[in-house]
Amino acid sequence: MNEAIIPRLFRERYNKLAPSPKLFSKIIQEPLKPCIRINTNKIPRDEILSRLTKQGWKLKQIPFYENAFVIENADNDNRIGLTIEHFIGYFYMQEVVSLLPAVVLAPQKGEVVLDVCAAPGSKTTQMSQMMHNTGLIVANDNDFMRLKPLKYNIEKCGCLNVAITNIDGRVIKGKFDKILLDAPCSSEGQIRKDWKVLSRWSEDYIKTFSNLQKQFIKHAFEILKPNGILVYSTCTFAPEENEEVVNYLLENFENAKLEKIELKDFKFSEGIIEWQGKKFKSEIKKCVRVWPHQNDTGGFFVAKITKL
Amino acid sequence: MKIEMLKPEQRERILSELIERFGFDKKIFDSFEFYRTKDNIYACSRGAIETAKAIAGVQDLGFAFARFGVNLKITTNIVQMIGKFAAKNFVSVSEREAKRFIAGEDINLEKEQSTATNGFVIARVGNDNLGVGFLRGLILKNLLPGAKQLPTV
Repeated sequence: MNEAIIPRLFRERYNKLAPSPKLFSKIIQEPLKPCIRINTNKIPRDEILSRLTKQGWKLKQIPFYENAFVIENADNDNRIGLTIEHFIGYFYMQEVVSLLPAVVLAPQKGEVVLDVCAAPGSKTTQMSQMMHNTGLIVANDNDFMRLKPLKYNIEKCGCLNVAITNIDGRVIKGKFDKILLDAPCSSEGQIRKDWKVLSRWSEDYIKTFSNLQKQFIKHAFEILKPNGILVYSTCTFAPEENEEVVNYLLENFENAKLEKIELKDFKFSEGIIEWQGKKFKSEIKKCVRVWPHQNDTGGFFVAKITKL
Repeated sequence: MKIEMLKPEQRERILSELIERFGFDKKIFDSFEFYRTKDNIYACSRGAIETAKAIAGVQDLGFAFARFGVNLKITTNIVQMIGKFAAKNFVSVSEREAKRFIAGEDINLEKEQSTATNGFVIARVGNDNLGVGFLRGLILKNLLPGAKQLPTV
């Protein structure tokens, strides 16, 4: 990958924002190591670990989630994705940072959970196993074309506690114990996986998403039950799509309380409280920013909000 | 989508057919609820149907459990979950045959199966349940859906 294709504005922006900008620029040009999530809906964790280890796979435990592992000796031709174990759905290929929102939301047995933008289903299927295939997850996606892979993954992972809806996330009806809003975003944190992200990138593109995300988070908070938990996440670095959106919610709803997030043995930065002249509430520091060079992952943002 | 839970007698009839064919213990279905569409029986978690009724616009709940035909055909997704509990009508294949089965090929078996009679069977390698096939004599006809077929290593 040639650094020259990184847009100048992008570079300038994240030179100001990223901790250790040189390390950031370097790592975003390196490919990601694959990660698998053991699907406990289908097989006990230790049984599949033992099998994969015997086959020669070197697995490194993700510190904040016991069922996920980075494949240390993965090859370029995705051989682990072609094993019988993967065919049966004993494990699911999922990026490390993509595991974060469900871990922060921590859905429990019997709860009613909404996944607002669910396709292709990585977080839905993760939550299904965290709930021991009980309760109900409403896996919604507004894009009809993305329902097919969503359904495929739900079936493959043996998730019996999932209902699929195809509704604009800004008008969904119902009342939910917990809501995961992994919002559509400019996907800057996906650069290591897909360089095309940069070809679409512009500050106007970010602003468009920011406006949409504010509408999404407002409605998600409205349909959350009292004492319910909302997790807002994106796979982007842009403060307009992250801290600014959470700040918008806090300014508009007095009963929205931002919670501190604990992630064991995983490095991250706190949310920023000022960006391009805009000042955010000081509690925005409780948000979590994951930079790619902090743990050798993709980039991510997570916030946890309780409805008082 | 209107989702109505199967009545107890309908549930009993469906499960009886599968229990008779595969020797499942009835208890494994205790955590399942069932509803039907025109051609399929769907399974979901206990309590999910009642909860889902309060949600507008549900298109799917759980997933297909069995399809109607001359005989009831259990689906590959369900077999991969509960196939390990089948006491009969499974066909054990070698690892090499398993890879061919996963790739969508029919399998010519070397000898008659003591664990299976002609009809729908579960294809199994070791303790892993791959999916559904149709056994006729020494031929295991592959019934894996196209979207599931995969070349494996």
